[in-house]
Amino acid sequence: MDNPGTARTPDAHGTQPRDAAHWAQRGTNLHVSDTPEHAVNLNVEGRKVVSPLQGFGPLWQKTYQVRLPGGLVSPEDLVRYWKDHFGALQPKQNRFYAPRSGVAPGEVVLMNASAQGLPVNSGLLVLYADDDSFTFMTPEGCPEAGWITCSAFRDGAETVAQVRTQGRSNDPIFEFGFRLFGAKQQERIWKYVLNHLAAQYSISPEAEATVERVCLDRRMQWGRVGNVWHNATIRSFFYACLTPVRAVRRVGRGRKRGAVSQL
Amino acid sequence: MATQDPSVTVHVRYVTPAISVIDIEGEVTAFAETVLTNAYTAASTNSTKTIILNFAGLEYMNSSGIGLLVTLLIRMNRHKQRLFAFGLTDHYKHIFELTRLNEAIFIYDTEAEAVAAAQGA
Repeated sequence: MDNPGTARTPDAHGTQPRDAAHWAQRGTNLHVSDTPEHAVNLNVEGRKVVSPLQGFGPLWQKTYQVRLPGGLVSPEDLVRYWKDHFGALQPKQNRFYAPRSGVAPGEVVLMNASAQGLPVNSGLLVLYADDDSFTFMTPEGCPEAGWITCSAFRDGAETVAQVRTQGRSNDPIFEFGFRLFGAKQQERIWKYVLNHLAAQYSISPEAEATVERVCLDRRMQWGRVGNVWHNATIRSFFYACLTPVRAVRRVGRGRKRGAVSQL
Repeated sequence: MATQDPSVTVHVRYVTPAISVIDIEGEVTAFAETVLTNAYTAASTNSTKTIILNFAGLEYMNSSGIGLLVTLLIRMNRHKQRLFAFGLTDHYKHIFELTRLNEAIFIYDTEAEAVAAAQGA
């Protein structure tokens, strides 16, 4: 397997395209190179990434923006700050753990979140990253199938920070959850992130993040009902329920090891 | 028909009444949205069943460009059309595999192969 972020061998034309170093070079299965302390690495290892084509529910494109007066920060500096503080900019129920190497192509960011009190442990592949944007792709079992692009660009005298998500709910249970409360919660999260990002540059409260929603495809993909097998919330729930059992087993194993070493 | 913005140029060709080719040259990024949408509108006639994207002139593509291709694919599915592609270098073939677009877009090495497949289907 290639190292993340490393450009592949040149193609038949003998040259690498300019974007080569910005794309993940791994295959479609996730691998966590190091698990940060306190992070739960669950529903990630070996999971396949899923594009909006492999999900279940209607396909939504949502664009969140916050505008910063020009001169405060360049798009490149803003994205650099965003990459370095991606986890810290999230609301407290959403914990993201980037690897030591940071938000770099091919790396996996672990996600330990909570939706209405239910745990959602999963991860995100850094599909693409350059100086003014980075994109995550979700794996099987994640609430959404698709990608999330965080970027910044100049628009006249202003610098615009933007999050664009393009995705479908991954399975019928998540679709139900999105309709009930998930979609609203998701919007609150990305607005929170953008507002806190803007706050780093002392933006007044009236410069609040906006959202634009476009439904690209209203159809349900019933052929993808089986995605529910990987549902990260169900798996995280059972994982949490079995925590005492794992603790007892660990103690048992520790005693056994102690007895063997005494022999 | 040819359309362009500073970073991308597209040219639409009608191979048969059922098959159109869009030649793409330059960069496929978020800025290519209008150009690609206009090209699709021009390529898609009442009789069009297959649209073939020619990526031989592709110089640069970022994740927003991949997002545009998904949007195009969804639009085509709605019109019961198929999307084929050819001229991808190994690097871009890898990106199509990574993003799993290769599961929905039929990829060929040459235009002749793509057209033959479109006619045979």
